[in-house]
Amino acid sequence: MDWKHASQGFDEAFDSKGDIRPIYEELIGTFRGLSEQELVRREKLQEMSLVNQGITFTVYGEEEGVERIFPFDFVPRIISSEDWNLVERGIVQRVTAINHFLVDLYSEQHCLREGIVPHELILGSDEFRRELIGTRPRHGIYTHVVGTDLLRDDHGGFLVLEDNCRNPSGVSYVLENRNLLFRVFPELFNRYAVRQVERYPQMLLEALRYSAPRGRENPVVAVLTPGIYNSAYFEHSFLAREMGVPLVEGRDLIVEDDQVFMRTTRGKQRVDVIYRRIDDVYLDPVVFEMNSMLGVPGLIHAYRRGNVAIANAPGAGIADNKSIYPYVPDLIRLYLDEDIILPQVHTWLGRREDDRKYISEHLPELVVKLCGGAGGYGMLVGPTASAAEIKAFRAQFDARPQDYIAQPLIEFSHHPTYTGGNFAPRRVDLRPFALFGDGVKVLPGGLTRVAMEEGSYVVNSSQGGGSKDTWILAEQES
Amino acid sequence: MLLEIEHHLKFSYEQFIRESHLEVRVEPRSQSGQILHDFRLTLGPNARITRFEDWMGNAVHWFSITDYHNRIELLVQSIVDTLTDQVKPLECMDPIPSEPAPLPLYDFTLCSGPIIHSDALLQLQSELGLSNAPSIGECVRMLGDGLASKFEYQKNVTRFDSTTDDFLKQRGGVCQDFAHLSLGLLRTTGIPCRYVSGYLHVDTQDIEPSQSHAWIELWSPANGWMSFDPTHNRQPDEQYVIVGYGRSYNDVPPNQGIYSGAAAERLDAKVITRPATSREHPQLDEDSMHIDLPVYREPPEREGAAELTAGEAAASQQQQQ
Repeated sequence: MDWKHASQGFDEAFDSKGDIRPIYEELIGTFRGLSEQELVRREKLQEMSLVNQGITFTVYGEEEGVERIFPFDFVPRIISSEDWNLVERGIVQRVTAINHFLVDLYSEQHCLREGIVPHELILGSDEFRRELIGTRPRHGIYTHVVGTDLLRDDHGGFLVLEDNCRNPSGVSYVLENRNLLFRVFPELFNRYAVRQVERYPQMLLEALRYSAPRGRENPVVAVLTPGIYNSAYFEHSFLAREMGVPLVEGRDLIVEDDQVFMRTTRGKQRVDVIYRRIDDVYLDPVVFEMNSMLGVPGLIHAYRRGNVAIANAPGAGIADNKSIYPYVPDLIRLYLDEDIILPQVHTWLGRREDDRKYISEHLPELVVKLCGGAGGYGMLVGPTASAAEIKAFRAQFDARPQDYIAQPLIEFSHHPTYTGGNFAPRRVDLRPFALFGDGVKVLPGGLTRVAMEEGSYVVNSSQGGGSKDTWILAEQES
Repeated sequence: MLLEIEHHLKFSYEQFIRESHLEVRVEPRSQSGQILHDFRLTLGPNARITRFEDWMGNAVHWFSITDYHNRIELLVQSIVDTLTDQVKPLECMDPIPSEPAPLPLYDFTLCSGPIIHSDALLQLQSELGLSNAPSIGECVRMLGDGLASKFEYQKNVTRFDSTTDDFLKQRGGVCQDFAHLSLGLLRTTGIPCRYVSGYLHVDTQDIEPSQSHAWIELWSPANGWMSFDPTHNRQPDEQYVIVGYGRSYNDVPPNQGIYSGAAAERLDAKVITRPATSREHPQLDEDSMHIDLPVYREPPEREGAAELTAGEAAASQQQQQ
């Protein structure tokens, strides 16, 4: 079995001379001690486990909603405690500033009045909920759960690629990947002090309970899912089960006298905190989408009166708009009076005239994204796109340039990945998860997504990406 | 002018429905040029009413009825003092703004909801020559005269959710359609403007009844907000009572809500206005605090369904708190 290292860019396990980085020596040594036959046996074991556990997600676009196994790569990714400290501090700073931004947007709007963020961006966005101006969630927390997407650039430095404040998913894979790897390759863990991720459900429950309405002892938490046809249903049921709280759909909840109740076999039970995994507009048909049958009529009224907490708070999704991203360093300066800890990627905005011209002239070099898009849909990766794809995309861009942003293609890092009987470099990103309760806490771990195709830059599960277990090493005692 | 306004809203359902959640925007605003002296909202079946002010400062009342019912009645009573605005929009000499609107006005420069930025809208905008108007006043005059000659006031042609494109096609509609089309035309010309929902008092009610009405306000750098009624092609006076502002009807519908149950809904709305003799309504006695309409724990078609008395209904709600 070969271990190939990346010929260009940053390889997380090998240095530029092709020597194993010290942190990976034990790991690669252990793999090298296994025979080819043994690896094949372990891979089978792993596949069986995945199918048995039913870890699936739904891919839209091809046929209709195909359920797939999320490919898992058993070569874990290792992050040193020094690197992690920086990532952790950077994420805490970012999440804190973005939450301040949301509090401000739905109250005084200093950031708009002072011109830090162009008001056209906010007022022109579908994600801005005017209905909730003046409604302050408990403790002023909007972003109870945040997934921040990071890359490592060609020098190994971490870069923030985007924020997911609306409904970040993927944390169930972080936990399941750890379980799976531990079951299939227990010996890998022998030589490393890997920080635990298994406490996540408990941390989440604590953060959710912290946001419960005042005066509720032992607040009741429920996970609100759009139902089994949602691509992340596996995760919704997983988190509910692990937290030991009910999983409900809109029709299971009823609002009476501005209090939210859950229909149970033993009658009605009041719900204090809703961890919702549905979009804002489907929360309440009285206030938002009149035609929706998914929501809970009266829920927003109960929320406005402070009788129920909703996590993440309705209206938080505006922070995910990709055209807000370039302003995050300014928001950090405005609200925290600090310099940004984790750098981010240079971004051109289709709504700025100069930028628009630049994007239009450099499409083949750029990654162009829909401001409101997610999951890799509505995106162009210029350097790997065909002339025909660029032409088709240009037509979309020219029709509504203000809906797009563009970034240079980052030659992000590679990581050894088991593929076709060999260990070969594949590109990886990282999504750590932060919880905002009594302070911001970052789970010491994260979802490493891997592009399974050689040379590919697309790691989204919906576009054929896989994932890895991610190890954050404990600080060494000196 | 001291006015007394009564607004009746009666919802009836073919079958009993299980649950209703309603928001109403019916409370006249208190602001410069208009004072709300007294306001009363009476509801049946009895339910707790909560009031809040939305992002535009409009008063919203909401309530939920979660026992079986087949009728909801609301009686809204207001006593309002109104003044005629001294600013005359048609005389406004401000030029049409060439700069993009600052933050507080930005929301009123975009076409959204039922106001559709379409070719048909732009075509009418250029036909009327609005962009060439030397002043905002002249632009309003061209708009008012243009709509009066090309569109007709007709009931039952459009619906509450009709768009400007529908109105442009049908050439007939009601005040809401005139207001939306005017907003679209002014916004594409570059003048910030907003939707006004309210009441219009008519002296000769035997000829034309008083009614809920909609008109617009447009922004002039020199005068601030100026109001204009495109349906009647005139400046509103003290017979106009302002209830709410929005980007369009969608922000200030008099009622919006949802009910659970398979039954067709019918809404009868009636507005009565008269010059008031006192600034306050007479005190109500306990019995008239709400409209007596029945609710049922179980759908009444089933056997043995017991009607809940007002006291029982209140008690059952208290237990659930």
